[in-house]
Amino acid sequence: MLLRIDPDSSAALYDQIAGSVRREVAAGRLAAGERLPSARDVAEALDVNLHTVLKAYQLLRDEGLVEMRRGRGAVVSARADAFAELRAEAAALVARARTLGVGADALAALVRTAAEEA
Amino acid sequence: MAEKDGAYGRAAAVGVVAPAVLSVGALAAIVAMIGDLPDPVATHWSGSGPDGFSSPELVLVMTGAVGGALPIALGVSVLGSIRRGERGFVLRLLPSVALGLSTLMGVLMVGSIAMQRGLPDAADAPSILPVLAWGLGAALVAGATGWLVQPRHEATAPAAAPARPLALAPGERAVWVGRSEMRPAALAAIIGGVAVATLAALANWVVGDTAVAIVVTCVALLLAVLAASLTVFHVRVDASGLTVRSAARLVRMRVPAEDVASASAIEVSGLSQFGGYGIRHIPGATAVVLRSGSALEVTRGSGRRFVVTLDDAATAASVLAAVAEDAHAAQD
Repeated sequence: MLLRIDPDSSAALYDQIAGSVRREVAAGRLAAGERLPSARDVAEALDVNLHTVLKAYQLLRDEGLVEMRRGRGAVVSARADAFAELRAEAAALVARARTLGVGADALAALVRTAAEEA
Repeated sequence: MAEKDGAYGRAAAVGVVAPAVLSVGALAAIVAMIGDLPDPVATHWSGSGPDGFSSPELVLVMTGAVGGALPIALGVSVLGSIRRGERGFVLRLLPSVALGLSTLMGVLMVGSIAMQRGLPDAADAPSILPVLAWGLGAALVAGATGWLVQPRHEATAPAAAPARPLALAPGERAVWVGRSEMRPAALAAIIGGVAVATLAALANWVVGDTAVAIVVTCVALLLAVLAASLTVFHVRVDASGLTVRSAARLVRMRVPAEDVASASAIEVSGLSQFGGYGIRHIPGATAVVLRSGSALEVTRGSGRRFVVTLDDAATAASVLAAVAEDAHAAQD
């Protein structure tokens, strides 16, 4: 699992960690049923506080992308399959936006607004 | 392609055809003698006399399995790699070992059966030592011949293209955290083995002999510890470099970022390149190979390679390349 954080960014570190996990699922590199690395491993690797990673995993659990299982840690939920299903449509949307000259950030904002209004 | 040297045909002749011919010959010889044999026949010796007996049919099964099927499986295992153009020490060695093993089993089985012809009771069978000596001698000659018949293998680890370092914004940190795991079927086989050993241990404590029970319990415990610690490795690529450790933290291997000359994603074959699975040491390389397939390969400053099998080796390699670049820049 690839994790990227930028301590200088305005986004909170736990948000960035959760975002990394979402990106891995969206890219199809993490599938439903796969275990996430232990929070301790991630914290040591990124050199951040353990609670920051736990908070990120909590966030992912609250949105249903991850399930906490006793003895197995954090496991990617069946929601990942929905991600996989939407991936082709997302790619099509991005391609369409590109032909119209709409950049990635603007498109993300557009999708976010649509989701909030729905 | 690399078929010019004839390695494929020679390996097939040494590791597959010759063992097949030998085992068929051994089986035919035993079948021809089966009418003159005591039943049961002696199949195990200690010191000068036999102490283990079984039916002549079981001798045929053993000869076919250990002298035929097993060596042929060894021989066949390297053919795919050789056909793809891979060359290496293990690829030349395994067909020779197959031929040697098949020769040893053929001589042992036929020899031990031949000396029991006409005996009323297998307990009168003479010592196995002369047959064993002949078998070992013949196996060494056959193995050496098999080695020499094959062309010289210049090791051709396919030159892997170094991964492109992951592009990072200034101040951004990237790490890769994951696991190196076995295929589920292989893991199931190991769990099955532990279960059988555990059952055998329990059975011996309940009805068997205490000494046997102690030994079997130790074997079961050892298998369980090995299975728990060596079937999953945690792999981490971070600013300090590459860290691979076994689940129970029994084994820990590191390649510091400063010592990474290059990182690439490669395809490995456990048996033909590393002679098996697990933690492997071969000349010029150390490897954690839990399955065949994609793997991260790190070349150290000294030229030594470190290999670990990973599903997403490409991403891990690009993160490690980025980390190494930073470490080298910091040193200058």
